[in-house]
Amino acid sequence: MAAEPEAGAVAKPIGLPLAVMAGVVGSLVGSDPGPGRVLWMGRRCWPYPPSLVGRGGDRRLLERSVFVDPPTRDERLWAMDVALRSSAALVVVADGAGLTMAGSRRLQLAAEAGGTVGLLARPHNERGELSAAATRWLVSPGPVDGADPARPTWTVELLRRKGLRPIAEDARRWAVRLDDGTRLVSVDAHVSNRPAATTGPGRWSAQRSG
Amino acid sequence: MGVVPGLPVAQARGVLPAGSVRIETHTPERDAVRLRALAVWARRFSPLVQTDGVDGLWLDITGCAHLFGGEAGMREAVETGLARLGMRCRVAIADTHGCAWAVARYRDDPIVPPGEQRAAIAPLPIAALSVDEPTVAALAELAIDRVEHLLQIPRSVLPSRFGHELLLALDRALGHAIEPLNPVRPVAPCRSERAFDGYTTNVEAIGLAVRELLGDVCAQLHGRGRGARRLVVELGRYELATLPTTITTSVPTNDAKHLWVLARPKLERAHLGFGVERVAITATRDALIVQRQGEQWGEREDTSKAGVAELIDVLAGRLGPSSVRGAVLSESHLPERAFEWITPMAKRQGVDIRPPGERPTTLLDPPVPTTALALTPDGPVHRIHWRGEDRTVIACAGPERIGSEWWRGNGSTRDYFRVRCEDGCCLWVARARENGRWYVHGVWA
Repeated sequence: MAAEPEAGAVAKPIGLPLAVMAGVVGSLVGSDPGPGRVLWMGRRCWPYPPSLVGRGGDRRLLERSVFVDPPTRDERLWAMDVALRSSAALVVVADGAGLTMAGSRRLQLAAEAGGTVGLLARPHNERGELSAAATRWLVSPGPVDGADPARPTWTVELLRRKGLRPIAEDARRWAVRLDDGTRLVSVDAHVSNRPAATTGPGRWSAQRSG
Repeated sequence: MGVVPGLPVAQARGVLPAGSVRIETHTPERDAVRLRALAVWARRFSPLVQTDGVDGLWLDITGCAHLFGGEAGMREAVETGLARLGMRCRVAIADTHGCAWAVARYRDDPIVPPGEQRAAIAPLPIAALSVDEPTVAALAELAIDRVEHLLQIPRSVLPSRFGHELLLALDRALGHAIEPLNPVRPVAPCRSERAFDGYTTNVEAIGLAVRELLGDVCAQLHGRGRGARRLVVELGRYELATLPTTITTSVPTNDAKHLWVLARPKLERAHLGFGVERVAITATRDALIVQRQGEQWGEREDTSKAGVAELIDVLAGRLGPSSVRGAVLSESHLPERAFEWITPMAKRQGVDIRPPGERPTTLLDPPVPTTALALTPDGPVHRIHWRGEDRTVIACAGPERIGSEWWRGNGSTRDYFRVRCEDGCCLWVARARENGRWYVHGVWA
C-alpha cells in the first residue's frame, strides 16, 4: 500500500516531511522483528543518519535502513517498483516529486503485489495531481508542545483514502511528534505515555500493508 | 629501527617514535594462508613450490635458472620481486633442500656450487640442520657445535644416541636421502565456456547460453561449498575484442537464477558487433558460503535474509554500487562526522557508540551562515534570519556544546540550540564560540 504524505503547511510549505515519515517507519520497524529493510530512495529523501537512532539508543531503524540514490526520475520509479515488489523490503520511502498518475498506479500495484508499505513525499504544489495512492496525508507544522516548547511537532491530516467516504474535519487531523525511539506519538502522549497508534497514521499504514 | 622478533612491547615503544606502535595479536593461521598465497605467487619462478615451515618457501628450480640468466640472476629476480611486495628475504640456492635451508639462514654467501654442500654446511652450527632444540642442546653438551664435528663422528653411533632424525637431516642436507616436494596447486577459478556453431546476434540464444553456463558455474561453486562474489561474462565477438561484463554480488551466492537477474540487463545493453561466437563465464572472486543448520522455527528468516542481498544486488547492479549504502554511527561528536557510509551488507562496527542527543532530520552541509539576535552572549536566541526573512523564536533549548576532538588541533567549539520559530519551523542553530558567528546547521523537516 502506498501512502502519500504531502509536504505542505497552512502557513509555509516545509521540505520533505522526513521526520513524520521516519516516525511512521520507526513504528513499523519497531513492530516487525524480521530482516526486512527500509529503503530511502533519492538523495533528497535521505534523513541525516544519526537522527534515525533514537535517544534511547535503539539502532534497529538505522541498521535496517538502506540509502538508495537513483540518478534520474525514471531510475527512481524503477528502483521503487523493484523494491516494493520485493519481500526483502519492509518500507520504501521515496521522493515522489513529478510522479504521474500512471507512475503512481504502477507503484500502487507493486506495493499490493509485494505487501510492502510505500511512502511518497510530494511537494505542496502537486497537491492537485491525481494519484493512485491508498491514502494521502497533508503534513504541516504542528502546535507547540507544552512539555518541551522547542520540540518539533507536526499536524498530519488525512486528505483522502481510497474507497472511504470523507470523515469529519476534526476527526482526521492529528498533532504528532517523535518519541525517544523514533516512533510517532501524539503530542499529548507524554501525559499518559501512551503511543498514538490507535489513531495515528502509523497503524494506518501497517494495517493496510497486511 | 632496532625492533626485532622477541623484543618486549615496552622496549619497542621506547625505541619507536610515539604513536607509530600498533599492537596486534599473532595469528599463525592467517600467516599460513598468506604464505600459501606467496607460494602461489612464486610459481612464476618455478612450477614446483612448497611452503617450508612457517617462514620459508622451497622452490625446485631444476631447469628454470637459465630463464633468469643463471642462478645469480634468479636469486636477484626473487629478491626484487619480493621487495616490490614490500618484503625482505634471504635466498639460497643449493643441490639439496636441507643445504639451501641451512645456507639461507646461517651463511651470507647464498649460492652453493653443485656437489659442494658438504663444504658449505660443515662450518655452520648444528641448528642449521633443522633439528629440534633438545638434540642441539644434547650435542652442545658434548662440545659438538658445528656440523663439521658431527661429520667426524662415525654414522653408526649417531642413531642410538640422538635418534634417526639427526642422521636423516644430515643425509638430506648432503643429498644422500631423498626429500619429496609437495608443490602447491593453485585452485583454478570455476569457469564454463561454450562455443556457438557460427556467429550469432540472436540475443535470446546468447541469453540461453549464459543461463546454462551460469547453472554450470554455480554447480561447480556449490561443489566447493563456495559462492560467487564476482563473475565475468566474456562474449567472444567476430573481429572485435572480447567483451567482458562483470557482475558483482554483495554476499557470496551460487543461485543461478539470481545471477541471471543481475546479468540480463547488462547483456541486453552489450554491443554484440557482427555476432558472438563464444561465451565464457568465470567466477573471478568467490568466498565461502557459511552453511548454517536451519532451525525448526527460524528457517523463514534465513531465506528472506538472502532476499535482502538479492534486492541490494539488483539495485546496485543498475544504479552503481555507490548509489546503494548503509550507514553506521562513528565515534565523533561533530555532527558532520557522526556517521559513516558503508556498503549495505557490511558487518556493522561501532555498535557500542553512544547515540547523540536530539538531531535534526536534515543536516545542512555546509552550515548556512545567518544572523541571529540573542539578549545575552551565551543566552537563548530571540530572532533568527532564515530563508529570506527574520523570524521570531518562540522557544529555544540549549546550548549543547560540541567541540571537535582535541587531537584534530583546530579546537573549534560550537554551541547548538534547538529553535522553534513562530511559524512552526524548527531549526538547529549553532554559534561558533571563537568568533560569535551564527549558522543554521540542520532542519527538522
